[in-house]
Amino acid sequence: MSATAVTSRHDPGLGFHRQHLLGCEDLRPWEIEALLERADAFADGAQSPDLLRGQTLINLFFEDSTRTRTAFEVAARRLGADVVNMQVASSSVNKGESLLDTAATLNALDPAFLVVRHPESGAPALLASKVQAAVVNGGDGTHEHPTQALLDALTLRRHFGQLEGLTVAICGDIAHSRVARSNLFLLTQMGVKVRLIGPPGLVPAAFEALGAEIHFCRDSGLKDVDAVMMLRLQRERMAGGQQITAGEFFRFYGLDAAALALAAKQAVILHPGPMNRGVEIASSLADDPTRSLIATQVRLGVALRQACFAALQAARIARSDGLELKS
Amino acid sequence: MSDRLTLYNARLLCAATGRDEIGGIVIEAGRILDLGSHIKPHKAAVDCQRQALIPGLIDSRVQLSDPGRRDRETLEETLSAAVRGGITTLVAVPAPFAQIDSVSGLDSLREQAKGLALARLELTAAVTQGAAGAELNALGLLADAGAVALSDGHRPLASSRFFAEALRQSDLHGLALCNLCLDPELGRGHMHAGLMATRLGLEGSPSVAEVLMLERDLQLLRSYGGRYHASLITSAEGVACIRRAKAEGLAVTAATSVHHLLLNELAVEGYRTFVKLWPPLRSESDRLALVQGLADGTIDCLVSDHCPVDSEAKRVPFASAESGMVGLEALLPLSLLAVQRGDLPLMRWLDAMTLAPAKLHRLERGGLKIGAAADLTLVDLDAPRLLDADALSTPCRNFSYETLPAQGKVLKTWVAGRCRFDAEA
Repeated sequence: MSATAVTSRHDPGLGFHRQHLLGCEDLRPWEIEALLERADAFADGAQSPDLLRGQTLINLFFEDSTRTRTAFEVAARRLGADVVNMQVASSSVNKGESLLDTAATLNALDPAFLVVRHPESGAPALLASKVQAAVVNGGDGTHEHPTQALLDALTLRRHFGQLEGLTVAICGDIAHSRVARSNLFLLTQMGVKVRLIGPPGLVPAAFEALGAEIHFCRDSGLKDVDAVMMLRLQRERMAGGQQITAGEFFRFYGLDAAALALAAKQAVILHPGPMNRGVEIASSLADDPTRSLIATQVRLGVALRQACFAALQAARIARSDGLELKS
Repeated sequence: MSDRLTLYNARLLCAATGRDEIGGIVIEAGRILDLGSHIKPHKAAVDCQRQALIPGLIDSRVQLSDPGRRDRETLEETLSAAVRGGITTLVAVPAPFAQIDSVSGLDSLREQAKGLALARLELTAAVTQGAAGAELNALGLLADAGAVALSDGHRPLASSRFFAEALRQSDLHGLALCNLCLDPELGRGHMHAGLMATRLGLEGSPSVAEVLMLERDLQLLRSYGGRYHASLITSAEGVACIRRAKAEGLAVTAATSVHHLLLNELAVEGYRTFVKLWPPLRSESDRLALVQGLADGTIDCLVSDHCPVDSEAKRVPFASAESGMVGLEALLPLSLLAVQRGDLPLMRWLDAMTLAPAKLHRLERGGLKIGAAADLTLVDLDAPRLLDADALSTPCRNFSYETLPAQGKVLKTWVAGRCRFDAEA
């Protein structure tokens, strides 16, 4: 593994040309390939400590999150960027400053990148239309979390060698999960068969039209899958009426050894975190190094985010050089 | 004699009599003195150049912003926009910033409107105080003060007990009880519960939430009698329900909004808050059912559900955005699209915008006949135009049809025989 620098000039072979990374729904396979290849390079030890020198990343988080914010920060710093973290406390929202007012203020500070996490679906898109920075959606409401899905795909690809032909089950609170949506959009683009498992109230039928196989029964859903992605109950996003107790959830949808045995022999486990041990996943499984890729996900998350910043940077340079963009 | 006005060489259209002929109307003292193909022009007459001369439109669902948010739209701006849109009577319903739930409130609005002498303002009074659903208003007093219907307007009347009581009282006073049918629990959400909502990660409100309350309302109508009006039907099942109820002989009428007739949930793509409406735009099959329902008379009235919202309340994430679209000035060309596409006969269109709402509110308007008030609109039914938010006269431009080519232009609007809008002026 040589420490080769990833070039910052326009690389005609790579296919990601967007100004923002707002979601996986519109990403095409070659764009996803481009991002994953860059991420592979970073994961294999490539370094570009000057790629973003002089540029600023502002982490604009309207929702609590230390792990995601830190991952973005580490990624940006490894590329030489300056990082500013803005934790927008609910009090400033109460003061009446609108999202767009915040955006206008930030725009004036001229950051190169804005990572936005917001409790409402569509907020980063709204912001992106108003700022010059490259906006990365760090998770918006129940809509999308593209960098999570990309790092999940990266994890799976590095483990299995390729994505095409895999069957992946996503199990849990699908209705309220932006991770589930992003993964569904992304994995189906890459030739993966996706199964969604969960209680009827938490797996809307409309997902079938988006290419997923829906299972209300965990055991039939897990049969022979190559990977299981467990999601936690998003109680903070449930509007009430969909409550299911932790015990009930674990009994019927949780991942324990017996359930995992139904999957393919060496099926792997993923989880975007944070985990509720004993609710969606048995502790022993989460920590089993032979099956769980959860720690790998976290590690690759930094490389993946470096790749995203690098790709957005390359796209910006290509745009300013007047190159024609295809998407 | 001096204020006699003759309009001649017009295509007279009237849904009450089915009249469709070239002729004229003579107006005196604010009323129609004479009309028909025999009307001859004279010196001071207005040549209508074969354009359509119809009874002034009656928009039976408008949300005022006066007095609560006069910065959005004052009563004068609303009534002025109405005459620009060929609307001579508008019926305001209880809205977030215009409660219409006290005798003094009603009186004040009516006085103001009279003084402005633009479009006529009629008022639907709130069934519960503040339309909050907690306490019943003094419905008799409100009826006495001139309310033309009872409704909680922008909120569904959830309490069956209040609904039943309101049915009885409205019957006593000869008013229709109107309701926005949406189950408050199941109907929660920000858009229609369908594929689009799932993709966008937005809480969706299913069609069954409409049917649930509609069927409850009809059941109570069966038990207690009275006259019932479903204010804004948005789903195919809702239309079917109304159809069955009418076949059964129940005293029920229904309306839908011009936006629900033209748009479906796909319009929301990209979190476009300008098409965030409540009740929401639903699927294409729902839309088609609404068009069919309007065409066959299951749905009686077509409304604008005019609702001014300033850009600050719209340019926020979808779930937080206020719902509503303005529509007074575009009601005519938008609604004519259905006619132009062949989905709606012209007379049915005219009926839905004039006679049917007049009947609903027991107003002696909506038709061309001798002795009736001279509320008239001269329309070029074929004039092509692009509907442009910038051309709206109201301060709030929450309007979303820029790329839609339309036909239909209001040329002049008369209220009580006086010209209150002239496109050439």
